[in-house]
Amino acid sequence: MRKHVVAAGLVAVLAAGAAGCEKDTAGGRTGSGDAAYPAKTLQLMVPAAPGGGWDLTARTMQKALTDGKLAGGKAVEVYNVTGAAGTIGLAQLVSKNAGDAHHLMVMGLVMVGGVVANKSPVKLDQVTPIATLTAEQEVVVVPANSKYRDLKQLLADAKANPASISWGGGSAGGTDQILVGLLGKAAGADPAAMKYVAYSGGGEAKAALLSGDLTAAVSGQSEFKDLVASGKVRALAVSGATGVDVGGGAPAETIKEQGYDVELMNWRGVVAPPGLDGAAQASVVSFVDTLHSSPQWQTALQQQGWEDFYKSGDEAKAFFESENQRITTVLTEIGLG
Amino acid sequence: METRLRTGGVVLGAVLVLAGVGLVWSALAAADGDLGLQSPRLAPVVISLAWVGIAAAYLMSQFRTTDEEPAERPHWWGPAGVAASLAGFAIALEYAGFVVSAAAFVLVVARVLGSRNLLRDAIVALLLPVAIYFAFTHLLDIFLPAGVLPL
Amino acid sequence: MNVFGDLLSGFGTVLSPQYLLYAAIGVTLGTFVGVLPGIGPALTIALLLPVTFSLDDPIGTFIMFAGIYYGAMYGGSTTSILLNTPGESASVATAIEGYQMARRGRAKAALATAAIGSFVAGTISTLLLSVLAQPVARLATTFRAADYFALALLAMVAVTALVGRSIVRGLMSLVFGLFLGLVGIDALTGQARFTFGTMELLEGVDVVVVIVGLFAIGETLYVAGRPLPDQLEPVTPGKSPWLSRDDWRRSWGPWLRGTAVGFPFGALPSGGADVPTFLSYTYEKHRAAHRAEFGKGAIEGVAGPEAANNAAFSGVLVPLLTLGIPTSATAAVMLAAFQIFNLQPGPQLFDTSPDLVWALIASLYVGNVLLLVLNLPLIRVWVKVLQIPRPILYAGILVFATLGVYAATGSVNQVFLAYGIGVIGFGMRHFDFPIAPVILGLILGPMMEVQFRRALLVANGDLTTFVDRPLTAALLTLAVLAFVVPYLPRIIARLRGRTSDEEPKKLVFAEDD
Repeated sequence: MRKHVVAAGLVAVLAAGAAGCEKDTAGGRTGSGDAAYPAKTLQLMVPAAPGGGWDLTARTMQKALTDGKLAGGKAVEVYNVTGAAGTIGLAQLVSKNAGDAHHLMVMGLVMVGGVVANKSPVKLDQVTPIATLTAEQEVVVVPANSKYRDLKQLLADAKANPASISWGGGSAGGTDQILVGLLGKAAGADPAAMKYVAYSGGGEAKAALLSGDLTAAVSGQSEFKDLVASGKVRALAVSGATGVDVGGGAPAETIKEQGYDVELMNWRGVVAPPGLDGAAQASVVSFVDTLHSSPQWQTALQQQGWEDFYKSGDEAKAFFESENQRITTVLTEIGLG
Repeated sequence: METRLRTGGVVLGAVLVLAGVGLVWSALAAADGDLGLQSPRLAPVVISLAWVGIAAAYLMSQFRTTDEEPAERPHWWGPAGVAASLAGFAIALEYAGFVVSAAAFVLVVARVLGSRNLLRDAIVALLLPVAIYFAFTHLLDIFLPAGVLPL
Repeated sequence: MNVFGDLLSGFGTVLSPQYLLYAAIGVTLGTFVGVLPGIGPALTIALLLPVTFSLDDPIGTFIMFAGIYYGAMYGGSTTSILLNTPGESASVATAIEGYQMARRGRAKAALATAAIGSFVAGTISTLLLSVLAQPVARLATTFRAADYFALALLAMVAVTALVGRSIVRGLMSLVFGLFLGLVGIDALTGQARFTFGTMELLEGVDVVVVIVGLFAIGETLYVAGRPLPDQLEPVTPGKSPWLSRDDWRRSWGPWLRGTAVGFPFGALPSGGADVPTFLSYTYEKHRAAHRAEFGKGAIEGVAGPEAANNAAFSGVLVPLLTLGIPTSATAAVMLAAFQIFNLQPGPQLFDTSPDLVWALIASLYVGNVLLLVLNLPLIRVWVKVLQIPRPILYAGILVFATLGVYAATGSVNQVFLAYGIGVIGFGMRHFDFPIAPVILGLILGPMMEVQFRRALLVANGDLTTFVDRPLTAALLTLAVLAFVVPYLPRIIARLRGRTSDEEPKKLVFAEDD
């Protein structure tokens, strides 16, 4: 009996798969890269559940690698290890995959925070840095009927009377709370006094902003696009170096432009297990370099609306270190360290 | 039989009470005096106290009841055998791979569950894991360990 | 209001052979994954997301997704009914009576009332979605943390006022569920609780792992200790119609009431599909004329939750489409899919992409019809599952259970956790503890705690936040009433010196009585 179902399922997936494959145009092997890498099936770990940002990053990489025939005929497999801001996947990469250059993990700023907030015994400096790939800005919004017209007023009140402002965003210790902490600090307030209400996702925070529970919400740049466009909420600032359009039709002002020295990108990247020698690391880096410069990846970036945030090799290593330091400091000041 | 079940109930009740006390202790230790209404430490204390209370009530009730007469006498080796097979399956999963470990598991657990038809079991043990493996890895794109087989 | 004109054009889009094919693929695929414990619609859609990059056809994609959801929900209830192995929380309530029906040779009727009930609820709630989306969404976003706490409390009281024949055992199960709900990182402060120093427990105990453990694995362990015939209950011979006249009479009320509970709950930004199924079950049990039959396979107990479960999906689409607020895992993944197509669900979606929205809504109607058309004839095939020799059947269940947990979490430790919970499930069956309250505690406990503390945090610790808005106060009053009222007859009876009427002892699996 079960076999009937399996068969029906197979047919269905086949049909879907076929529909998917037909449209892909086979691109030739671009870039030089290291011919020897990958020498076998490449495993790509997503340290979170399917459907999230890291998962999408990994599966987009997989697709670009396969479509662009960049993996030298070797398969690329994606698998998920869920849990605790990625720290469980991190622990697994270090304990189980040490020395294996064919085992990469997607990670990002959230993991940097997760290691600190969850007091993870495995730290990020134990893995081999490869590259950062993409980034998204954060946006600060208030309801349309809010009295706050710009970030200055909001932060002035947050400094004078922290209890009067309910900030909301994603999970505790995540990018959103980190930004609130940085903003409080830049405004001269105590980051630990900022009243931050954590929600399990952007959706819940959105509802809380509309219902009146929150004074201001912090979220990824695309999350509030439609609510901003329809005038239900107002974007006060974005967290990048240059303003982006978050729904208002024109680029929103950055935090820096409003006089606070805060810049925060929710970046995502790739790391390899510990214990790789210099040559192995170099071949992985050059492989990811090839991926980054492929037309398939560039198209995918555009399609997903991700900012190209590419740093590889030593540059990535230095960046991971500086982010780690900065995030650890602010999370400790918030009281989560 | 009647007494046996009740003894089981008493033992269970005692275990539950002890486990509950352990939870209360661990919750209080973690709370470190911080038990305000907004504290994340309040709920663990409240729930584990409720656990102890209800477990105690259950323990008491086991001294009183005499009602139950189970319809059939369960044997212990069936569940134990299944549990052992499961443990073996999970341990072997990432080393031997999905196909091999699942095939062995089906063969063994079918025996434990009383199958006497080895041929039938063998056919299922061969076809089911292979079908699942290919459906998952190649069509659904869900990763399963390949293990020792060159799949 | 030209809703019906828009809807008509939506049908015009959807009723092409190509889109009908997508819908059929979706429903079939959904049923297939729904049958597997642990692999629900959210995971399937997430895995199919990359395919949609290249499909480049938003309408077709969403038609398929809607089909997957309906199919998965129905697939989940099929295994709940036949084998007592629900794959996710929304089909736990169905398992309670459905499995008892199957054990008594009424599997066909149970599957039929589930299928037709899903169809009825799906159709009515889609109609509500077409007409009422905007006002319902406005209403739903007035709910604040304090209201959610009151609502969760009300739901908790409503469903646990009837924990059953043995209050002590029911409460013990509930407390165990509440405990499991506390394990992991606190949602508000990020502090670890009851993790006993392990990394693995930081993420908490996933409700899917608990359900697979308590049901699929616990059930198999329990069965393994009993000498049963080579096959499960014989099915009543083939010619009987799906539902008898009496079944119809008893089913239509629960279908409608289930829809009435499911739709609004789904529309709440913290609602979801599981709570209304339990509410529907409890309500049907409470008011049923055949109350004594509950626990032994009352058809109302299948009809109501199944309708609630399906109606909730249309409800979930209300905040998703009108505000871009996902209220369930599936909705969150669908939101990601919208964004891939550069569509931002929200107040403007109905204006900027009316074709897509109305085609999606029309595809819900089509998906419902397809589900019914495909699955009613399949019932005949489904019940044959029960004729698979028992050792093979249970070996298969265990393989799929392991697979589901492993595929969903990617960790052998989680598989062991599910096994451990399975052993507890075995013990609970052995000592006659009800299973469903564990799931209730696990779902409602964290909701209550987090919303309570969130409300206090927002109000700077001021407890009057729970009474100073009429909505909160009304919900809390209802909760108190719901707590007291069911006990009144019992208390009065106790006072008159009557002992509770003991039911004949039977094998109790997931029975919530």
